[in-house]
Amino acid sequence: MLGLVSITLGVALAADGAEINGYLSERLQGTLPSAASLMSTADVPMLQALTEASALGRLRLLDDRLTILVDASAFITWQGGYADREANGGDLVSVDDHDVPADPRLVFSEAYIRLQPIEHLDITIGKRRVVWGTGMAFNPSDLLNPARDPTDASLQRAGVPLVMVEAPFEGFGLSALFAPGVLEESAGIPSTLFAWPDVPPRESIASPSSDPRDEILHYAAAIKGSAFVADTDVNVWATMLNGYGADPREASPRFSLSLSRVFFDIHELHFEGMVQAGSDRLSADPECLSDIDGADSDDHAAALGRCLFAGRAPLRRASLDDDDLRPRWIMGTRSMFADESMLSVEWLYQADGLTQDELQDVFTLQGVVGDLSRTGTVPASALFGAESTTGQGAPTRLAVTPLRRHHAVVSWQRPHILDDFTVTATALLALEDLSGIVSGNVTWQTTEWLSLSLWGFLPTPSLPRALDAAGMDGAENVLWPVVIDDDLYGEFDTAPFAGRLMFEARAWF
Amino acid sequence: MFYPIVTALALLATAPAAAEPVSAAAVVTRYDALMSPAAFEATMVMIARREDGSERSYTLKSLKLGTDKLRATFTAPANAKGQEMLRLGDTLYSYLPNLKRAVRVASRDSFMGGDFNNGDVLRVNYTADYTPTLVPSAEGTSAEGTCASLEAKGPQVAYDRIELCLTPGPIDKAQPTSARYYAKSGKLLRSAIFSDVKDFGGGLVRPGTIVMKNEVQLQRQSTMRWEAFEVKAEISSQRFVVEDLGR
Repeated sequence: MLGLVSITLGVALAADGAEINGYLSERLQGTLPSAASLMSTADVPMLQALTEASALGRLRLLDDRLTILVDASAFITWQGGYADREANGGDLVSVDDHDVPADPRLVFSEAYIRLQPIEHLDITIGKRRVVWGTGMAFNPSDLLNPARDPTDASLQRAGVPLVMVEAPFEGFGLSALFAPGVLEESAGIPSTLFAWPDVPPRESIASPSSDPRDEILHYAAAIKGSAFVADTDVNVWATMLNGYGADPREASPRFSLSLSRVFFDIHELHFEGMVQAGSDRLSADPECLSDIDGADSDDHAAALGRCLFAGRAPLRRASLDDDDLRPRWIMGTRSMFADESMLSVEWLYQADGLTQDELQDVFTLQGVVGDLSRTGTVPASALFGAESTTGQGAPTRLAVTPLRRHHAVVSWQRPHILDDFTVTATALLALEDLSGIVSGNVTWQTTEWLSLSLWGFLPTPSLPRALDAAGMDGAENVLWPVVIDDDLYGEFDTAPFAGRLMFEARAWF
Repeated sequence: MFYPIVTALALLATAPAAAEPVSAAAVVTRYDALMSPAAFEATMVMIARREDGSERSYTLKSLKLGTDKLRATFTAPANAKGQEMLRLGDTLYSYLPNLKRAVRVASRDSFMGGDFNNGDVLRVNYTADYTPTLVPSAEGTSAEGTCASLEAKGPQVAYDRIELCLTPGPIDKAQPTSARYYAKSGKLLRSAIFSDVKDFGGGLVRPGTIVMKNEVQLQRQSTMRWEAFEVKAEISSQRFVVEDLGR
């Protein structure tokens, strides 16, 4: 379908009425790995260059009743320079022979056909990003799309294959969608959707134990009603997942609500929430952990092996089948001021977020796996994976999955400074320990077609860790930190980088 | 003796009738009819001139229906292409192509950093938003013509007071000539000159250019120029729903 849409659009773009625009960008990134990271940083490149060519083509036909749109990006990545903490503590040391050559990738963020057979009825077929929630930094109800970079919500444009029917009217609307699960994809193009074929994937022919195939149909289906009531945008929707994405459950429903209203003309208040039974959150297996934690450091590998041979996964989704309702929501406000600045404050709550004990278990496991990978016993990305900004969809500047229950995101932006400069600052905080990641950005719109941006990212220590470093006794009793080898950690204290600097030049056409 | 009387009577018979006084409401109605008809599609270019003399230009297409629905889509420059703004009543939405979503914005925001407000571009309905009163001339000017002082009816509009002047003469032929825009404190924020009156077709003759001068930062001004303007008999209401943005 994507190929057909693209070819059709490519041929038709020469016609009158076609629009195409896009940009070329070059991003240079320098990362200082963190010696405090529990996980190995051997796979985190210190230098990375990302070249992107992005184009969006749109063709409107039949008096705007038929729209064909393709939003595609090609990426080439070069990365090199790796370092990791020495085994059993110590300073960062260079990891040799680890450079990775250019990694070309083509991503179709969106490619769809939209048809309006009659007024107030739209049918969309193809790949499209559909966001129904009002959250800015996070969308807890978004179960379909690749996750955003919380420091720049506009960066991730990638959608998912779907069929959607919408009936928009003035003041209210109805929508329904069906999204087949993407089981395999190559260069950003899905190659297997909905159900596994009879033929196993190529990689699993040599290793049958890694054959991911199953007998179920993988899909998501959702139905939404929206209305504008009392100056408030109200959206209510129900989603059914059947083996979709990372959640293996069948017929797993979710119910979601989003609200948005402007007060006093400058304050926008929004809420986005979702409730589900159970959770697909990963947590450490307590029996595995008990065995591993009780073993000497020299026996950690053997303990991990015993766990695996017993058919237990050190990390597992323990709450898949429980009946407890676990809501997630984000609520916040976005205020726009007379000097054109904007301040956004959001609170993210996840009922299935890790408790202090659960985070202790996960971090303990991370520490063990990290030490094993530094000695070469297991790969650096074992169990937890490396911090990857090149996962699904377009590469992001920061990959963050909030683990604990309460987070705050504060973002401030001021455009048109000296006409051409925009300054943005964002802070992501774990409220249970006040660890965080702060980012700052300055963008200079040099001309109408060229912008230059400088980004900085800095993890900030949790309050207990900072107090402990300052010599305070009893810092472990301040808020809810985790203790690993007598060191205190907050959620973001284990970030794989101590700092990151990024420069980007983007030329629009 | 007879002929002078007959001549005088003939002259009286052919003399134009004394012009009816123009009402303040008529001034505003005439302005809205010219500058923002009930349904239209237009292409505009906005050029913002900054203190250093450099300029930034934006091209946009504008679609209006009724008194409370207006949609603006940017077609140039490349970095703004695809951005849209939608006004539904007192509610403004901004669609950003990279966000793939519309968010609500405040109407008093500057329009693309120029000297026009969002309201100047997206909320031209003086009849609904302002209470007019005739005044002899625009304050601080010697402009001739028919002038009215417009007081804002509520906080949702861009300016607290506007002084608007049309050309003298019959109101059905009058054209806007100038306007001055004030804050609640009485401070003059902007002043506008309407020029380049031309026939856009379909019987619509109106100014093709507005030069908006920034009275706070005196070296700044913005020009809005209409490249095309078509009055429409009807426009699909679906073009004015939030879900339609970005398509």
